[in-house]
Amino acid sequence: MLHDSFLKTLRDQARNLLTWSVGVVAYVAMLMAVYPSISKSAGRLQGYIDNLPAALRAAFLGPSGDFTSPTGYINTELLSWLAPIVFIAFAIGVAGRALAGEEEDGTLSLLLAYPVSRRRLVLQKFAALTALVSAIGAAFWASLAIATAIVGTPVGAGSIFAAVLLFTLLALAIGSVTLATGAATGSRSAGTAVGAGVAVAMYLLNTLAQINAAAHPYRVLSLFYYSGGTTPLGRGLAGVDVTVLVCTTLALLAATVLLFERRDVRV
Amino acid sequence: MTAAILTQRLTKSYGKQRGIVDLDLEVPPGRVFGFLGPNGAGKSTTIRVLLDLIRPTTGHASVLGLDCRRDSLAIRRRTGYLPGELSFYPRLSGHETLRYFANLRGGVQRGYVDDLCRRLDFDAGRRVADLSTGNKRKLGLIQAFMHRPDLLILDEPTSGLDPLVQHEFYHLVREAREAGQTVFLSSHVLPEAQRVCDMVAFVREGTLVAIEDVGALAGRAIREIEVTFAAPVPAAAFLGVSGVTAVVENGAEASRGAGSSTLRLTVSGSLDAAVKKLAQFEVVTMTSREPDLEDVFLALYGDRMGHAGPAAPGAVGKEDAGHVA
Repeated sequence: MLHDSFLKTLRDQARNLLTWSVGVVAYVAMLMAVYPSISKSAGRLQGYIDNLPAALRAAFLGPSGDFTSPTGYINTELLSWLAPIVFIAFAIGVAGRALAGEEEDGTLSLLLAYPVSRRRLVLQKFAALTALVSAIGAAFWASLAIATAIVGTPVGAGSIFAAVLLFTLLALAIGSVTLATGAATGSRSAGTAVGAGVAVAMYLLNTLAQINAAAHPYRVLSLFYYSGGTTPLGRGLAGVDVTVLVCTTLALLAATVLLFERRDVRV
Repeated sequence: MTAAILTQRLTKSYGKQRGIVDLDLEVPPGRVFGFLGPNGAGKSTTIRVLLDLIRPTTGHASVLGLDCRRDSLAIRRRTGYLPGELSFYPRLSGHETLRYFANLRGGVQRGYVDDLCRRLDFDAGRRVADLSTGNKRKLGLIQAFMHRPDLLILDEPTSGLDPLVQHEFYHLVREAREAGQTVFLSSHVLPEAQRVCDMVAFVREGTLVAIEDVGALAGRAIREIEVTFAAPVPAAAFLGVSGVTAVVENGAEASRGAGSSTLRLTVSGSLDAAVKKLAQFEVVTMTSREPDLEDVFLALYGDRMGHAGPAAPGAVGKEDAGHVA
């Protein structure tokens, strides 16, 4: 695992990845374990939800306003808020350490005195980020697919896969914001702050756009719009969603290379 | 022959802070070249430009005949670097650190790495987090030497090394020169440079003050001698003694007893005349120390640095009045 910076980054993050994955699996298991009792009291809950203002219902439960079906339950309890936080927080953490972290630790000066071009280093760090976020995605996908199968709720492994893939791409795009900011400034906290700020702003924009007609046209500016917003499960995989998320990431990656190649490395 | 390092009017400015200014430096191949200056003189800045870690504001630099910006990868392949501010990955062991760096480089002979570890008495089994400053320095030296590069760029290589290891380091440097490698090392202490280098360049406040052959420098070496006499001896007694460039009275040391007195002599070149003059008095203690680089600069190149000039022979001063009265 010490062959190059890609493998070394995976090695450095192994424990971190394991911690997050265990948390994901545990939460999903707990969530699905209580689903049978939730669905029994379905009638009363759904009645309560149907009485909520339409705008609020749409914002937090999606257009269907459905909470008690398996899809609605997983969307509301997991995919509308917790899953994006987990994906994005993990991606920002890894991306912040990737370049700015090495620079702040002082190891970048020695690393770049070796015959490793800055472009190659950025690409290897990005490849490691992709592999690690994909691993979190795999943990989500596998635990949800297995848990729903055990509980006997027909959601469909393919449908879960589509939702998890969109989150993985969303997290990579936000992580690339952090990577680019860290590469441009050499500051891990700047990268983390900008990445998290962009994520929160985009989440709020997308949610607002669902309840406010004036904000509605601007939802296309939020990456959450392409990752399924608050109701990712059941959305399916649309070419435009994948294209926008992937292209945003690639543009940010190109910016990272350009910004990083021009900069003075700090001591 | 192509210069190992060549800089032309190299300038690096950091806002208001000065980095280096119009630095012209030529390091011939196969030599051990000392880059001397007080802390903050711009030594590390120059080195970081050579490795393309930072970019010059103006001017040009080439290493091994290759352009520092365009051909940086080719330069880095043939260069070994010890940073002044040295950081490794705390969770890796010495072995793992060396394996990682050897992989990044390729073509490193395992046997030679082990050989270097043994010679510098480095325990590679321990985690970097548990290493002392001196041991981290050894690890830094090993990774710089391990691929037998054409050029070694060593930023303050001996700071933090114990004397035995320093000695082994000097051996490594001489071996490198015999093998035809060029060694470019920065330092802020002159005796070290005199010991291993063929040539030295002096930098101060970002500008080059002088380049000298070490052999030529020896005859003009500056030394400070502090002498305590059993009886009061006037500073004026040493005026005009050959080689003595400054005399300072240490008046305030009452604890030594009323009868004694202490003088600090700055002597350039041979000590012979000063010692023979001292022998006329009853000497209680005598210590000699290498003056700091700033004093050497003043004595050797005061006229080139925009100061009043080197201390005139025979200048006499009081302690708190400074060297030049």
